[in-house]
Amino acid sequence: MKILTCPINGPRNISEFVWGGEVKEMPDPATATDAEWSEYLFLDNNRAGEIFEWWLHAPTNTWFIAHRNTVTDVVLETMTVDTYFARRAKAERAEEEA
Amino acid sequence: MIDPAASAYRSPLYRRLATDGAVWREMNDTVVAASVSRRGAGGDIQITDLSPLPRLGFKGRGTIPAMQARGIIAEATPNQAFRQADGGLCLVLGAGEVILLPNLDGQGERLAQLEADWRIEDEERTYPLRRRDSHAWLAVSGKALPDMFSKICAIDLRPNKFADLSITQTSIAKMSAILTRADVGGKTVFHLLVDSAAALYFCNCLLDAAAEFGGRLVGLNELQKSEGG
Repeated sequence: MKILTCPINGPRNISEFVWGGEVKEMPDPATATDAEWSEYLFLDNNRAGEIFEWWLHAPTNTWFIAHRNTVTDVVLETMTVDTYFARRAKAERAEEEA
Repeated sequence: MIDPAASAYRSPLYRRLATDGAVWREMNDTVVAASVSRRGAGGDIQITDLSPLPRLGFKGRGTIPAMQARGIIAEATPNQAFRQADGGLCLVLGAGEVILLPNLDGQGERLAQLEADWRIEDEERTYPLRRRDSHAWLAVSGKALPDMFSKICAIDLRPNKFADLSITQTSIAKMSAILTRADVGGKTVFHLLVDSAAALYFCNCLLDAAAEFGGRLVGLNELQKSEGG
């Protein structure tokens, strides 16, 4: 069986996890068109390469982020949601400063 | 004759226990199986139903400080249990969630008080959860514990790998379960909390896995005996 590492609970069988889709920006629900909103809800980019995804460790109800290569199906890293967004904010700040 | 079905807090497993010839005992506001008479002494696995005993959960960002303010021993280390002065347990499941288990005397006043004293106006960012309704509670002990659990759970539960007061939240017999090791009188005991609606299925899975080790259901008296050492 495949093993995925939950950032809180450690390595577990893949059967304990539920895929939650790609990490993507939510359009403003007040101003989004129907097309934008349904794209957000139902469509994925399905990019071949490294992507960030939501995963759920079902027994603990822990949502976290996995960095996965969709071509090789290798999970490069898993991290808590806090870690992911802290890193992203830092990267954005660095970009602004540059 | 004590009728377990008459208790408001009867165990979801009372019919199963009755089938095995349970002898009932009144305990505070509930009825527990004091002993389960079946021919042949318990083999290397004993399964005790603790479902009728009280228990309470708290959840929310401010849970750990709120517990500490109430004199409960707890730290913000997920998957770690803390023994209380009265022999009860505080299971820290995550940064913002705990389950409080009483000692085997099943005194529920303290937990009832904690629930009654909670007020949303206090803005502690925690709220109580009635885990007595949501979760069945089984204690499993015996020499063959790691061997038996290796059949139904992927986690390494050997005593040298899974220390006393460790918690694992994982899939056991295809069900989400909270497993806590809390030794009683030098004896390794795994406390299992699972969805009460599927308690019978889960109990039967445990009995099936335990069958080859001579495992069986026992009453609370037997577990309390080990408490004495």
